[in-house]
Amino acid sequence: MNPKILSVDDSKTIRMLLKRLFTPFVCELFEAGDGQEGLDVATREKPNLIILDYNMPVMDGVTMLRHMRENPELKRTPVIMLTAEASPGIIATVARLGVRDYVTKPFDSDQLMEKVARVVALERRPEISEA
Amino acid sequence: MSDNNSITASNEVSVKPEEVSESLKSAEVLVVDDSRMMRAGLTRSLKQLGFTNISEAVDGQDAINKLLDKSYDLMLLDMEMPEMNGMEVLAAMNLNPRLGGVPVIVISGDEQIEKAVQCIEAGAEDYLTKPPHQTLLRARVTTSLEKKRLRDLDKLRFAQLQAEKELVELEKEKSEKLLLNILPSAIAGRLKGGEKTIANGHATVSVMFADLCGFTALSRKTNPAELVAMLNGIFTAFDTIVEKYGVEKIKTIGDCYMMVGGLPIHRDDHARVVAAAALEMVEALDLLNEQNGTNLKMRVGIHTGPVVAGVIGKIKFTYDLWGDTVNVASRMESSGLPGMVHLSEQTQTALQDHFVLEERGFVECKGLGQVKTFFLKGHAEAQAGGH
Repeated sequence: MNPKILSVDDSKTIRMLLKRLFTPFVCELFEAGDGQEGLDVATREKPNLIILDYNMPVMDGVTMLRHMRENPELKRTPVIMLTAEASPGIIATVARLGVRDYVTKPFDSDQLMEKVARVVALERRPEISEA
Repeated sequence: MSDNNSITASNEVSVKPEEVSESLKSAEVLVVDDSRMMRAGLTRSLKQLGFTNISEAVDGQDAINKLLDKSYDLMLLDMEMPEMNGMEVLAAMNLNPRLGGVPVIVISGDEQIEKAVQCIEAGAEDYLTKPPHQTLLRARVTTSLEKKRLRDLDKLRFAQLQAEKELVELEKEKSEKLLLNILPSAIAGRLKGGEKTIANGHATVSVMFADLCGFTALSRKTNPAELVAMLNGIFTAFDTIVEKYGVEKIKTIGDCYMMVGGLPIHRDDHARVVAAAALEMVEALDLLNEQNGTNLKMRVGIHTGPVVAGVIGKIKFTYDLWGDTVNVASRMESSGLPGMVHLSEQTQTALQDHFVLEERGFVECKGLGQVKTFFLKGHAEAQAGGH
């Protein structure tokens, strides 16, 4: 079974861009247009990685994160945040909620991939005992 | 003398490095670079080092497809590729275990240390600037391959250990079953728990002896193999009946079968189950006689009373019984009649109204004097319509 990546962003363009970026990965891709939908998909699919937008209607990124923290199955899922503004306040808030890294919009896809690679590499660290 | 066709930094007289050790030469290496020249150069360098299984991928997507297809021991990955660059390949490998497990040495044009750090944080094992120096290439490749070999060996050993563990578990189960075959489980449990001597007094149990008459005569005219087979058939049938009624077989002594009801754990209906089992054993013997064309009969004796029960000795130990009750039960058997179940007054009392009994008379028993005895005719219900 292949791993799952979930993109949660209200911008269809960004979702399409992310989809194109992740296409060569041997992964199942999922999308959501707001935090509520994102939460539903995440609860159902239990993705291995979530790319999450900060500002969304219906339910924003931070609220979705709060809900995820309350779910034992989701609270450890690695999340990379997309944010238009990288103020220290925002960074502190999302870091406290367990976000592994962030990129500012408009984002450089290479930069995003770098962070994806690093975040997921850290996830896999205890691999020697994974026999 | 430098090799002008190899893509290696040759700003000094290059001494061709030795080939790698034999065991590493057959390693599966995947070279990933969008530049045909670079790929060719790397492949040539690797061949000079003695590698024989070198594959090439022309971009990130190709690399991923190849990783899905085959198990590689090492990947040399160019970071600067169009469409899907090296970092994305690393990310994809990190995400999907199906692609992982392959050590990656990234080859990059970027000399900056930050780039190297990023790659290693992204999971690469090492970082070489292109074009890689032949000696450095050899050193890094050898290290990565040897580390992988050790990891693989580790995994193998772990798997072997698991298999051995399972075997040990199986053996444990087997000897467990064997022990339970010899001793009642409650007693076996106590022995395993560390009790050295198990001996308990039990106030009321019912002991039965069944002796095959005519067996010795038969043994004179039947060959040993057939004789044992016959006895095995009979006692196995008795074993089945014992299991069915939840009584405890103690032992067989030659052609004599001994069992007890109410042990190792007391039950109020001990006499009833022993009586019922005894009746069934008589029936079983009749059936076997029909099947084998034999005419064996047996005397059965039952007595009820206190016994001491336990396990003694250190070799070939069994669960055994001692006391007057045992002697009287044996006396019931020896003073009984072929085909009949002979029991004492004490057993009769314990049976109450569940069975039909016929008074027999009195039998002299050492220590007890005259004991009133009965023959067991059948179950009470079975005779319901008869009176």
